[in-house]
Amino acid sequence: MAREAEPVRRWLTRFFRRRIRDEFEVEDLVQDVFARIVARDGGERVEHLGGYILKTASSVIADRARRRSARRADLHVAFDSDLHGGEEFDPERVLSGREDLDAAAAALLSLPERTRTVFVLRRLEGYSYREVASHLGISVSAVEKHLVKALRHLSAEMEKRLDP
Amino acid sequence: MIREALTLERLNAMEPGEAAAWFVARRAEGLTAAEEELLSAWLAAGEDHVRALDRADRAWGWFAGAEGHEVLDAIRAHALAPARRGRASWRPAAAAALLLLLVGASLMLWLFRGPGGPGPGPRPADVIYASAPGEVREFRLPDGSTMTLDSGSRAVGHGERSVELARGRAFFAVAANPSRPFEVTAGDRSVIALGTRFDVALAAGTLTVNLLEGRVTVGPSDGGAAPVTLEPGQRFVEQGGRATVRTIGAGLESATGWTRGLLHFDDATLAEAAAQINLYSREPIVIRDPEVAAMRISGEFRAGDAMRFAAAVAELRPVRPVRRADEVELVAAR
Repeated sequence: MAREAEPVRRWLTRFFRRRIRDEFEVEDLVQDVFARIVARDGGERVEHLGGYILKTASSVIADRARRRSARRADLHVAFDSDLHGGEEFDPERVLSGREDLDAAAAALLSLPERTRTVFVLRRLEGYSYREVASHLGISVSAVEKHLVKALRHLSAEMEKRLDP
Repeated sequence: MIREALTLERLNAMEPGEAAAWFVARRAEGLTAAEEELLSAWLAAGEDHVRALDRADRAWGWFAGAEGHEVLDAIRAHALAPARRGRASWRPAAAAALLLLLVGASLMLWLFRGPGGPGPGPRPADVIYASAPGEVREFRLPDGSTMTLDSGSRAVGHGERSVELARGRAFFAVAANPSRPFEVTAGDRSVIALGTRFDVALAAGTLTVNLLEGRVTVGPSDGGAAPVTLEPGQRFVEQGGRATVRTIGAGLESATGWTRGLLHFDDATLAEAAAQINLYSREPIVIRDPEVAAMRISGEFRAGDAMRFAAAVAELRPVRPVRRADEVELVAAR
């Protein structure tokens, strides 16, 4: 299972390893990417999950370079043609397969964080309205408003994807 | 009802997409009789309403089978973290703590619900792992091995490298440690492994062990008789005291597809396939037409989404899905 469940992490590890010599730091940077992805607060649309992860990974590398710029950097070439990376964490193509979930994740990431959290707790964690409300300290009617907003956004994203 | 009251006037004044989103969000929690009526009235008011509801429905269903998608898993872990987080960045230590928290939370949830039936209580050092019906759940064990529990399963961890499967099915990816074998007991058998990948299932008095990688032995847990050693690609089945070993080969990988949210059918009848899909789905697939039930199907399908399965089958066989309030029926296409 662990083999299949972690394609994104594996891809990121390879991405950083190609650029950074310090093996210990690689793991930190991978973690940084995940931290940035999950804390993302809406904003512009995420067209493609692979592209978005690559962009985040690139900016993690750029920030690191900035932090180290006073010192000698052991960073080699920063950006090459990893743009096809998206497909790499797509190991198996099955009926209604993984790319569909990639698109679903990308659509979720373009929601504001609070709205996304409400939707995830209700839809993916199976919390009831009331449980979501008490987890986040908001009212039940606010929970419903976030859900409606999330669903409208997701329907629109799905529509765009089906016929662009 | 704490939820705001909706009225037909208000709904009709909304954009169809918005009204549809209200219904879909609420329907997952259960609509009141009044809301059901409101929904029918609203649907009757326009073709575009029907389309809008269908779109919102599909958006809700988009996340079926999300378990194991790493980015979605990370988003979920983030959503579950205690509210009012600071802006501090998510360091590895924090991530590890979060993982512990998640495992702890699911355990507490289980303990809160209480055990599934009578039986001896767990010993103090025991750890109970459980998955709800319809849920496939991965656990990291103390020694670094991982265990994936299939829908409605239960296992008890005794110490570092010993797990007892009490119910259902579990897949193990065992961290190698030549000096300390990993032991899984199920019924009165025990499966002993070094670093390896295998699954163990208990269903209707039958014990099945599928070995994908490495080497395991299966023997009586009291050590009475000599154990059987399995090679990768072999399946051990014991039913009513009779044990057989068959060599399946590469086909075994798809037998463990359930750990990745996939169900594999090889020339199965639609009735059999629907029964499997229904194990993971809240909305059951129903087949009333015996001709449809007897049609055969092969392939890999995503567990957990009845509608998606029905739509896929409709492309392969002369059937069409009919969606009702709480079921999806497959009927012959004419």
